[in-house]
Amino acid sequence: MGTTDAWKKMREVCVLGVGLHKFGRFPEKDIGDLGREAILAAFEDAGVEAKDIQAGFGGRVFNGNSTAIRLISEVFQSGILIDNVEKACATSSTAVRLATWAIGAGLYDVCLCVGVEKMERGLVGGVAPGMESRASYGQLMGLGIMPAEYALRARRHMHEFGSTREMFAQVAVKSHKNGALNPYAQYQTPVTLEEVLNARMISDPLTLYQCSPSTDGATAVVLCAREVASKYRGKPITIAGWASGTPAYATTGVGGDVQEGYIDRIANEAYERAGVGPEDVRVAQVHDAFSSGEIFAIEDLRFAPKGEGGRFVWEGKADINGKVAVNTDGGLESRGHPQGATGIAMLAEIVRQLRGEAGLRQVPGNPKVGLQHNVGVGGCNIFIYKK
Amino acid sequence: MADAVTKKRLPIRRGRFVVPDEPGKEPYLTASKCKNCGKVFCPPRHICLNCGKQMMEIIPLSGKGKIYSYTEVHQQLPGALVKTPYMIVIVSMPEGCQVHGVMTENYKDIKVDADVEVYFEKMMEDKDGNELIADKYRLVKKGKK
Repeated sequence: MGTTDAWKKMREVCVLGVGLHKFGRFPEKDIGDLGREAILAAFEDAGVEAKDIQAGFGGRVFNGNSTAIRLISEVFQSGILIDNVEKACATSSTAVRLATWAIGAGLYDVCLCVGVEKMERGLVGGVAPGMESRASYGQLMGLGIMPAEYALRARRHMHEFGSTREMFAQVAVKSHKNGALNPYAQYQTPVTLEEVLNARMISDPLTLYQCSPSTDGATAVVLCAREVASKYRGKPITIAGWASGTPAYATTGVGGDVQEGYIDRIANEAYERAGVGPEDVRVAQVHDAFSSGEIFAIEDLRFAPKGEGGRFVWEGKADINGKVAVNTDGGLESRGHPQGATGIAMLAEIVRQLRGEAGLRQVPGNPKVGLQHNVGVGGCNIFIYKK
Repeated sequence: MADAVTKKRLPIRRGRFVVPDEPGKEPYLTASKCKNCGKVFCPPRHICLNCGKQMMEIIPLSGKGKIYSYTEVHQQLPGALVKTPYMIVIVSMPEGCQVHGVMTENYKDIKVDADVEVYFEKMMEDKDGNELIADKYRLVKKGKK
């Protein structure tokens, strides 16, 4: 949507190293403890030291002020530029995009991005006791609930295309199967289709296992200009294309994260910049905050035609051995969704897959192109990575 | 406490609907309609998202529409006055906008394209004893006009 082709003049940017703190619930740790472990792991993976980092970007969603400097200062305090970022569930992928721009434009050679979250249990978006006078109409009336958004578009999908409850539930079965292969995942136990369908209803047709949990966790990534990558030990993966945007005005539709037509436009832009199409993508990490979201993404990213996303998952085409391996690390539902950390977790999984380092969940056949789709209330980031 | 004479029905939050001052008159949903391009927005807004003009007029909505989509919610939102289970619905209004609202009773037979109508219900009282009301939706029974 930009008015110039300035992105064509940008330097090639790559991911040099990634690091995660395991996702889960860690009441005894604060965000500094989580972030420090992720940053040190990313440094080790990239083969860099604190002195190599020229700028930092990052943040969290809840109580998010000054998070990036707080996390990075756990490891070093060298006086570099550090920007705090917030874009709801797409917070840390936004940090990565800002670093990509900064490196691509030639301002810096090596940047660090971080994301973290510590979350309360239950639905997000409510009001605390005693604060009702400040509540919005939507909060008082129980509207604006995230699983409901995904359920409302799921219901339309069932109406328009004949998708079934079982298809949405199968997303959670696959997610938990993959999560069981990921030592960093919050949930590492497979579930059956019956268990998913019979679990506690959250927002019909979505049951408990089809909803991302509240999670504590942290993620970090070191990015650099391709031309300096050989100075470091890390195995670089190229950021081949990126695009970002927000929902455009429409007269009908559920709106928000799941507005019809919204992701399609941004995906097309990312594909064009990367010089690839959906048929080239072998591994994708998509925003399955709720199971139906994976099905919408599979269609919006053109892995399957409109209306066929449910069948695509049901027939195993999104499995690790499928046509496009989707959410190989368990996705938001099973790996967990510490909102500020999720974007870099998606990136990290694609990097490991493209390096061939994903262990038991490795996508076979030497995948060369991976796609990340990270949606927050503040907008969507899509990245395409190449080996 | 206000006495019976001065007790009022007031919107729980201003903007979506109007409670007429005249006794006996029913509340009604409102929208803004762009005098330039004709697009309709509910709740009302100042600037048209379609053409960008600032030429809105407030119009009343009939309050009768069709279900675009729905979901029954079973997880309680902290602080919400509506208690689970309840239905979140998107209603397509004949005036050309969609309204997000709740159904709390007798929605078992709901389906996409079902006819629904608005009604207004007391949600709470303010410190002066005024009734704070909100819009809710219900299925229109077959045969009923």
